[in-house]
Amino acid sequence: MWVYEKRLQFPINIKNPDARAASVIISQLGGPDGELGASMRYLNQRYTMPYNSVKAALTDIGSEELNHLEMVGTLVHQLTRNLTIEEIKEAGYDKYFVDHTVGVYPTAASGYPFSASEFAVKGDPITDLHEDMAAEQKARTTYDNILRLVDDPDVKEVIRFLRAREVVHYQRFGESLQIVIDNLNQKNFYAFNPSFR
Amino acid sequence: MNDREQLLREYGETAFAAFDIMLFLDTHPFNSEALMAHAHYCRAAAALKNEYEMKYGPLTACSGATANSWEWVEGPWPWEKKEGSRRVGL
Repeated sequence: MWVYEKRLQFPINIKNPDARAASVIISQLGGPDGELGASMRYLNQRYTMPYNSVKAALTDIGSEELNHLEMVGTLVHQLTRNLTIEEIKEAGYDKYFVDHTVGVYPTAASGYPFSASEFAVKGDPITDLHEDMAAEQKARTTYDNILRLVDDPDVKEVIRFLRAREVVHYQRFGESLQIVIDNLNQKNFYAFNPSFR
Repeated sequence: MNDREQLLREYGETAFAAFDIMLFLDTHPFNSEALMAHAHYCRAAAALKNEYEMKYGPLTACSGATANSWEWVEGPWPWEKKEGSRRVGL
């Protein structure tokens, strides 16, 4: 169950529209390592997670990713407001505009629409947590690349916050993996899937 | 930053502290220092949320009604800038 709180996790107030920045930031909405995939990945991995601490971590991190999804959507929205058609064409945003106008649609920067294959639920707690640690690093790399591509300090402070959260989540998932390994039956030396027998 | 934004920021920072300590507690459930800090920030955040809602309107729908109107629907919504939206020039 979720309750909506009418605020962003980190305040966003973009003064200067910039469709070119929006066209790369949107990858963290609907791209391969974006916040939508992250949230659904963690929340759906919970059902076969046998250990309570890790169920909690997946629930709470998966919920935080929804906050981040809203923040990335807000960035895209505020960066594409009040643009003229000339500005949209000059920024190369016309290819997005023709299908979505300035609506916020989950797509990778390449134009590839969001794919549910990025949820990555394997049903093995060890495999899933390795996936999650890699996912946090991939998202961190993407935010590093976005920081290389954008100049506006109003945008950069938001991206830096999101990048820092990837680092914290990576740490929590590393601890979660250790909890799973510590809980393995000593007879399960080869670490077969502890959630299926 | 006006008074409303200042108070919302203060609440956001306090609620964030409580949230981040919660993540830490998920994998360190017996850490007494973190347990105390979490309780502290949760109390502080609840007080700030209440103060904000009394002054500026609801953050959650249960605080969304006044005596004669449903204030929950009022803007600005979180993704909106203050001056509101304008149609793209066509």
